[in-house]
Amino acid sequence: MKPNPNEMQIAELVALGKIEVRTAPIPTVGEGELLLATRAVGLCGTDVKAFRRGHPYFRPPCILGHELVGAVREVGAGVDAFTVGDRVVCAPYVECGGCPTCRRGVGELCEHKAFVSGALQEYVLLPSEVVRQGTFLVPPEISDGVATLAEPLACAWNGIERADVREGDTVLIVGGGPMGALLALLAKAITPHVLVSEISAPRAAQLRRLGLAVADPAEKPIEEALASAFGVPTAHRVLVAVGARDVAEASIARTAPGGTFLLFGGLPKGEGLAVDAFAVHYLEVSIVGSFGFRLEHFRDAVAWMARHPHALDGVVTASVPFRDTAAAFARAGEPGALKTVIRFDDAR
Amino acid sequence: MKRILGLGVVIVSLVAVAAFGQVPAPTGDVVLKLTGAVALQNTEGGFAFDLDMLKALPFVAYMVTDPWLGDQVYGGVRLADLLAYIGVPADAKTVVIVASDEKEFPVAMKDALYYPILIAYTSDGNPIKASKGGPLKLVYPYQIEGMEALYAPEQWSWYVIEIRIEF
Repeated sequence: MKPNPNEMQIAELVALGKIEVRTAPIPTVGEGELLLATRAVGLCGTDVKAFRRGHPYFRPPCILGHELVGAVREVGAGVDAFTVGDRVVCAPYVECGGCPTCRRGVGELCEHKAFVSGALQEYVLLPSEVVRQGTFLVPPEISDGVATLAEPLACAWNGIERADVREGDTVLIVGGGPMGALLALLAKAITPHVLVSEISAPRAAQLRRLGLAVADPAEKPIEEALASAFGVPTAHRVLVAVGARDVAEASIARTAPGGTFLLFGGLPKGEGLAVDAFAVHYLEVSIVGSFGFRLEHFRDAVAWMARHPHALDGVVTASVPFRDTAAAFARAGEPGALKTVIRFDDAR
Repeated sequence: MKRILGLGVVIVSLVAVAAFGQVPAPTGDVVLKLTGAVALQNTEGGFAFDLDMLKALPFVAYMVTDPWLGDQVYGGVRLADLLAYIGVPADAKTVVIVASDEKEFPVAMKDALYYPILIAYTSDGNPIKASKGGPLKLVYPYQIEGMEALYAPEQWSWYVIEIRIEF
């Protein structure tokens, strides 16, 4: 049967652990909006969590995916910054910019954000706020797969800033998944003294291929690895990119006096952390968190990728056609995998 | 003859230091080292700056279209002022900008002395964040016609930590 030209394919989360590909109408473009033909979507830990265990923001039925690169297919009235065919990345949300939270400079916590709908569909409609502020051309040197990293890279920049990583600092990244890898690569651009703690041997091998120093805490205690790498059993900045309470608690003790501990990996609401008050008071260890990004980080992430077009090439370890989206979700997070990207060249 | 002139520059610089007192030394974190053929030294093999020492040098700011970040007002110290302060041989040929990720960006000495190429430490009046290539960043005055042809966008060094003077 000939496909209906007004319909597109979408990958819908219909129940926990179940994604189905079905058809839906192609959105109509309004004033100030853009319609993108999706080229690639990165799978994020949050997407995988929503698929496997559920997520309060993404209840089925819904479309997952927010790390998007696309080509402009249709331009709404009043948009003159983009033309049909432009390859762009877009922030999956933009802060309002005017509320008290935004004015305090923490737009990532804005409660009035404009969101882009889930990206695992052939065409994605960008609201005017996102078109105006959060959409950027992708330089030709950057592949589709790497372009999908703009959003996680923006989150990583927020983490790096919150942890206050500076040139000359020693940095420990705990957890070498895709976010740990991005945090480590950004930290390494600022200071050469970066060590990643990763327990999975295949993943450690991937990280080493990215030029990162990796220690396996199962092989020897991380304090010994730190002492070997930096001469002391602590690091100035400790960034925890896994969502595990015991790991986070143990990592606080690895933070040097006057240093910063960043909780980058999320824990469930209500989950406590046991903290040695001595470290906070007498050793002036700062404990901070970071969540998401604000527009400035997204803009900087795109600029950083443009400036370093091949620095992230090794982060994308799997590229899966759209028709295999469900299988890709089931396999995401396997040992040795960093970032999985869904590509849409088979969808149209 | 050139070598004699070069030696002259070094001697003038050292005489200037002798005349005006002790060589300044960083009291805060070192943000930049000048190494190689430099006359003024406060550390073995070079001269180390903390941010306050850099800020004590003449400040220059201009608006320029950053190839990666769009229009920005960058402020900092001109390479020419930095080199004059530190004293370099007249026959030195290259100013090598070294980034924290060990990338190196050569600038011809004649260009460094002639154009207002900056070691920038402010962007729109604020310290330059790491996500924008700071705290120190090499900025070319693209507002000058022909500058982009001389130094391509890839030559904008982020995370500058060292400047090495070579013959």
